[in-house]
Order: sequence, then structure tokens, then C-alpha cells
Amino acid sequence: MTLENLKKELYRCISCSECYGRGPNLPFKDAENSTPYWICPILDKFGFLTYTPQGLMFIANKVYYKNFPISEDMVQIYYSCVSCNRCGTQCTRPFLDIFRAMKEEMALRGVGPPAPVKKANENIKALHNFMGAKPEARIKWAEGLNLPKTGEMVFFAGCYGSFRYPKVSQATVRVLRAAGVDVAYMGEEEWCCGMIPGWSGQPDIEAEMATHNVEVLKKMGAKRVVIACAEGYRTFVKEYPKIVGKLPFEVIHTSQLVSEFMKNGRLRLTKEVKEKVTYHDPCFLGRHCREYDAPRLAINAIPKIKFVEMEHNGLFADCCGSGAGVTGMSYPHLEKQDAAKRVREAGLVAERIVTTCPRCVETLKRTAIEINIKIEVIDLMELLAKAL
Amino acid sequence: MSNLIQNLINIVGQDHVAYSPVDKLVYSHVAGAGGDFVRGQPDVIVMPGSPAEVSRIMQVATRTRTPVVPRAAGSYHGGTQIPNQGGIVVDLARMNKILEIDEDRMIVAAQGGASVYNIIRQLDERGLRFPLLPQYTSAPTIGAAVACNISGINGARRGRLGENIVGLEVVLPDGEILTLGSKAYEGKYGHYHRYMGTPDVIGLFVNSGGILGITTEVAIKVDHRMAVSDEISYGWPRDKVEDLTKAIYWLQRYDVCDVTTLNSWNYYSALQRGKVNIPEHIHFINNITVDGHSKEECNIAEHRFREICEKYGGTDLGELGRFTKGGPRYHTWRGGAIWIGREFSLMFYHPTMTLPEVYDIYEQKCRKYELWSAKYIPTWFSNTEKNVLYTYPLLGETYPEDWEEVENLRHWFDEIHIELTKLGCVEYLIGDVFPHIVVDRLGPAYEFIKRIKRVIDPENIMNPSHIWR
Repeated sequence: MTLENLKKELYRCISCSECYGRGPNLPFKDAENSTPYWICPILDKFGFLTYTPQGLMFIANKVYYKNFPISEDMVQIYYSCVSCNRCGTQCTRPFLDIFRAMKEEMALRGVGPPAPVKKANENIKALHNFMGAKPEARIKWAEGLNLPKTGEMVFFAGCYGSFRYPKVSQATVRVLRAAGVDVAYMGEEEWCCGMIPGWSGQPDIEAEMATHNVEVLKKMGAKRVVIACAEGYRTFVKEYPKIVGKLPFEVIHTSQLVSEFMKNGRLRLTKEVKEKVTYHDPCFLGRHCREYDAPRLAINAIPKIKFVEMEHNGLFADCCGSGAGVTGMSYPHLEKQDAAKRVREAGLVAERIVTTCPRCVETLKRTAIEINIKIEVIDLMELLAKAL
Repeated sequence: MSNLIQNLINIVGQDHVAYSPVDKLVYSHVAGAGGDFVRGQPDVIVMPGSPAEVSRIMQVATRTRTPVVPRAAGSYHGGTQIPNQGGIVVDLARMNKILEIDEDRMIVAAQGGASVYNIIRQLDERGLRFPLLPQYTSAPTIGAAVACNISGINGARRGRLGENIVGLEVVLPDGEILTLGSKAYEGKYGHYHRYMGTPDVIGLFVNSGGILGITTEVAIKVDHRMAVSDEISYGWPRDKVEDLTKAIYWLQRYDVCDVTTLNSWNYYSALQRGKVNIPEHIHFINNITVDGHSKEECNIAEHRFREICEKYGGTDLGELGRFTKGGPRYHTWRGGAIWIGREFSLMFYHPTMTLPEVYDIYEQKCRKYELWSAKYIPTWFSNTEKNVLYTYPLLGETYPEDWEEVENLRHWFDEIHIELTKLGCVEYLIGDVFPHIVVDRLGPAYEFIKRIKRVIDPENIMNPSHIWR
């Protein structure tokens, strides 16, 4: 959506400052949806009103209505927003749509995205993955698994699951096979989901990815598409329908699928995992798609596991700082601030962080090492595979 | 980079000074349609970390005759947090510590930039209660709350915030750090008493809108937290406003925690969504906050308040009062109260018993401008389907398609202000919106305040956008 599409929304912020929170979102701890403190991640780092949803929205208003010049300053303001959707828990204004539109406007005017993101988008367009890896390397993770190329249930491994964390994809196949499901996969025909260009002002690339992926999945006869990545899942569920219309298949996150199998008895975990774990809600599965229960149900189904919540969890879980990769690639030092906060919080209650987004795994794992906190970070599917 | 900015960077450090065109743009607005109440842009925004830094900033400002505008969340609708043009905006966000919760003396002391919600929460966890439960968001700070003299739930008992302040630390325009009330004799005994055996000068800074100095520390009397609280709701038809008023009067006489009277149109969107059920004949809705130190005490109070409402013809509306954000005890925002607490309605103070007369004028003016319908929330005068809060038409621009409607609202607002002020109602926004009305009403008192202002701030650098400039 462009600023033109959203022009009326630009007048809908009343600057009530709900999104400018400097304390708890509600005065009482035991109130419904109360959080220990409420602060926008970028406000936390920069402190100025400029770095708040209302600030970003006001700038967009002035750019659209008053032709306020787009400057290089704005790149940091918009690209340091981690798109965590915390503002969406406080207000119904479509902040994130506006920020996406504003990034698009900036890119159209030749300002942004920051160089590392631009490079990632170029890679996606040319090689269909953001890392710049050879497309044929995408199928390596599935070697020896004998996955079918057609089928009603298709596993979309994503860039992370294919290149950086093949173990997550392999674990997913193991877990699903234990539930009696032999998933198909897209092989080299799987392209990046397009999330990074979508969140960095180049939605044309996202649209190209969406159109291709949906076409291939249709041809494969997919009725259900399973995704182990929170970002990919959100892109399929929220963005693809805007691009290609109603999807001809259901999209489901692995955590949702396994919890479904656990509920109907198709999947039983038998091995004990004697660990104290906590769960990090990825923004894109939690606040964006409001899925909090399925991963917790799956973790708690593991025999002898001890599950503890962090202080900030569910609706008010803190972001890992990666911001769809866009913030992390653009400003690694900002990403590290958020990730360090998250790792420290987890370290207070558990010895292992479980999550459902490979980008969160990467960010938290790397930061834990950098700040010297001994805590392991693991994807849910890998943990479940250990309990089979 | 100007010398002014370099001086400020030397005081607070590079990270706490903003002066880009984008930053200046963002700090040129406050609450309004699309945040469009734009008066002027500051030259620089600065975030000091201590009273000493605030003092040095003020010294620089005085020396260079640069206007200073203190600002917190910017959610106050009067627009007094915006510079006329240029100058320094001072934001105390970094000075956000709760310094002391003295459970023996029942006093909380906090830095001026502390979140009011955070103070309330910290008190609550210690079995204490802030004197008021303000109805806004997590952004406003205690320093700003002093400058605006906030109200809130429990106001029927405890008045406004000003009545509950015992100590202040303020930085004057010349940089002097002044301690007042309990702050002035803070020693072994700490904070405990407001009066210093002198004229009460704390009041000078309450409701001052930042025209005399910057509040860097506040000490406030708190209460014991009530163990139990609940809400009950009663309704009255439009033609029974006299009975409603008597009920409110007696509720207040019997020490009600608070009573918030709305009209049914305040529930417009909830009604549309089928979230609440209000009988058609009901126009006024009294949401009554009941509390007690024990369940029994709360029950006795509830029983008494129900008797009062029923004696004066109120209809029990069941769980309606619970339809508030965060549950019954936690209501922080109702979207347009006709009045909160004692002697306050339609954004004016007036004696409770004059409500029928005030409301008649209100209806008459609304009808004249064809605004008397469920589509509008009366107090805020918001069109419920668009963002046309009452301040918007007065203070700023709005979406172009709404201009005709906005013009109509502008006339309505002007007329109703004049009528109610003539009656003797006191405007909540202390004249920020219609300064000429307030100036006329106050006469010599206005001149007296200006004289004080000239003594304390001879260069008139403090918040010159405010009425008391």
C-alpha cells in the first residue's frame, strides 16, 4: 500500500501518546493486558518523540500532505523501527502499513533502503535468497530425505531453513513424519518469501516472489503449506493475499500443526528432555498473527521439560531486535541492544530459549555469545525432534 | 551548528540533543487531528539528565534570551507545549526515577520526568494509592501533571493533583534550583508537610503550564490502597436531569470514590458493536466507583449508593460500568466523560447543582449547529466516525474533506464557551484555547499573575506561547 492508499489514515492519529509510553501501559499490574513497562523499542534507544509511532506517522503525514522533503535523516528513523507491532497492541491505527508505505516512498525517491538491505534485495531478485547463495544450494538440506515433489501438504523451508539452519528443516521433516505426514517440498522452485523487500520499501520484489511461490504451490497440488519461520508465515498469511488474492491453500505454522497433531493424538513425544526452557515469542508470529498458545502447548507436551515464562511474554514479549532482518542488517548495534535485553531476561529464568523463528534464533544466539551469557537458543522443531 | 546547540551538547551530550529538520517538525505539534496543531518549530530539543543540567540549560537560555518550552508527552490539548517559533524544547524523559516511597509518611517523591503510571504501579505494589487515577496514557510525566494540575478518578474525594502536592523542586529561568514545601526542609525527617510558615508558593507552579520554571522533582501525599473496589451504573432519561443532579450531590456527600456521568452516546461504538445494552429511554449514565477497606465496607457503600440512585429514579444498568479498558478498577479512559469527580463537566468547572442549566445550554447550542445526535460524543465533540476531536477544529488543520464540518464545530465551540463562561464556569484548559475570555473574566488577577511572571522571568523566556506571556 502506498501513502496515497493510506492518505486518510494519516489523519487518524490524535497524538494521544498511547504509543509514546514511558511507563507501564496500564497503571495496575493485575489489569488485563498489563505489561511491566511499555516502551517502543526505538523510543527506548533514541528517547525522542521522533522515534515513536506517532512521530513516524506525523512525518508521513507531512511528507504526503505538505511535501516535506524526504531526507537521509529519515532513513535511520524508519529503518530502525523493528516492526514489532507493539504499537498495534495499544492503538488501532495501521502504523506498520504506513511505515511500509513511507519506506516505499523513500525508496522511490532514491533515499533508502540502507546499503546492506538493498544488497539483500538485489540478491533476492537475482538469486531468490537474501544471502546471495547459489540457488541450487537451496535443496542441500533435503538430500537423503526423499521428499516428494508434489502433495497436499507442502513444507516451505524458507531461506533460513534452506541455507543457514538446515537442521530446523530436517527436524521439521522428522517430527512431521513421526506424526505420519510425508511432506512435499518445492526444491529449487522455492523462492524467498519476499519479506525483506516488503519491509524495506521494495514491494515489487516481494510481489514477484509471492506470484512465483503461489504459482508453484498451486501446480504442486498444495492444500496446506507448512512454514517453520514466523516471518515467512506472516508474509504468506498477511501479504500474499494482498498481492495474488485469496490463496488456494491453507497456510499453517509448524507450531500450529504440531500442536494440532498433539491434540488429536497423532503426535506423541516419548523421550524426556530434562531442561529448563523459556519461550521467546517472535513478533511476526505473536503480535502480528496472535499465535501464542500453539508453541507453548508443544513445549509443555515434552516429558519432564520445565517451562518458565520470561517477564515479558506473549502480547508484550520484547523483540529480538532483528526487525525482519531490515533493522538488523542496517543497524547491527541497535539489534544487539534489543537482543541483549532479551537474552539477559531469558537468562534470569531458563537455561535454554526456544523460539519459532530462525532469524530470532540467529540473533539471540549470536548476541548471547557476544555478551557472554551462557544460554542456548533452539528452534521449537529441533527441541521436539529431541523428544521423539 | 549554532552556538546554542553546541552549548547544549556540552551540557547534556550529543545523544540527548536533537535538531534535525525532522526532529524539529515532530516537536511542532501536539494532540490534534493528524497531530496538526502546528504553531512553530523549536530550534533544538534537549533531554537533560539532572536538575544541575536543567539549571545550566536555563542559564544558557537566559543569557541568550532563548525561549524555553518544557514538554512531556504532548497529549495535553491546549497546545502549550509548542514553541511560537524557535527556542529550546526541554523534555525530562531521562529524569524518570521514583526517588522515594515513604510508607511511614505516605509520600512519594519522583523526578519530574517519571511516568505517572509507573508511580501509580509502584505505589500499588506497596499497598498505597496515588491520590488520583488519571485517565490518559502511559506517556504523561509527573512534572507535566503538576504543570497541568491533572484530575482523575477519586477526584470527588481528593480534588485535583495540586491539592495533594507537598513538595517541589523547580528550576527557575535564571538557573536557580529552588526547593519548596517539604523539599525546602528535607532532612532527617524527609518529606512530610507542604507549608513552610510562609505564603504557599507551591501553588504558584501548579497549573502554571511551564511559564515560571521547570519542575524537576515532586513529592505527593498518597493514600492507603483500598482493598476492594467496584463499579455500578445507573441511568436517567434526558428530562430527569434534576433528579440525576440530586443523586450526584448525595453520592458526593456520602464520600463516593468517584462518579463519572456520561450520556448514552459515549457508548456509540460499543452499542454499534453490540458490546453493551442501554435501554432506549436512558440518556445519562452514572458510573459510580465504589471502594472500601474490606468487602463488607465496599458492600455497605455500594448499598448506600444504590439506595441514593434508586431514590432519585435511577435505572440499574447492571454491568455497564465494567465496560472499561482493563476491567472495573482499571478504567483509564472512557472516551469522553461529561464530568469526572466534583464540579467539572463539559471541560468546565461549575457547581454540581448547576448541571441542569449547563446541560440545557449545551443541548441548545448543539441543536443549533445540528450536532445533537448519537454520531457525536458530546464532551469531546468528536464525530465518532471520524477524528474530529473538539480541539481539532479550534487548533489545527484536519482532513480536507472534513473542513465544512470543522468550520461548523468551530462556531459551536466559540459560542458555547462564551455562554458558559458568562455563567461563571471556569474553563479547564485555563484559557489556552480562548485566552480573551479568560483575560476578561480574571481582570486584576490576570494582571497580578503577569506581574509575578515578570519578576521570576524578566526576559520572558519561559513558554512564551502560553496565555500568561
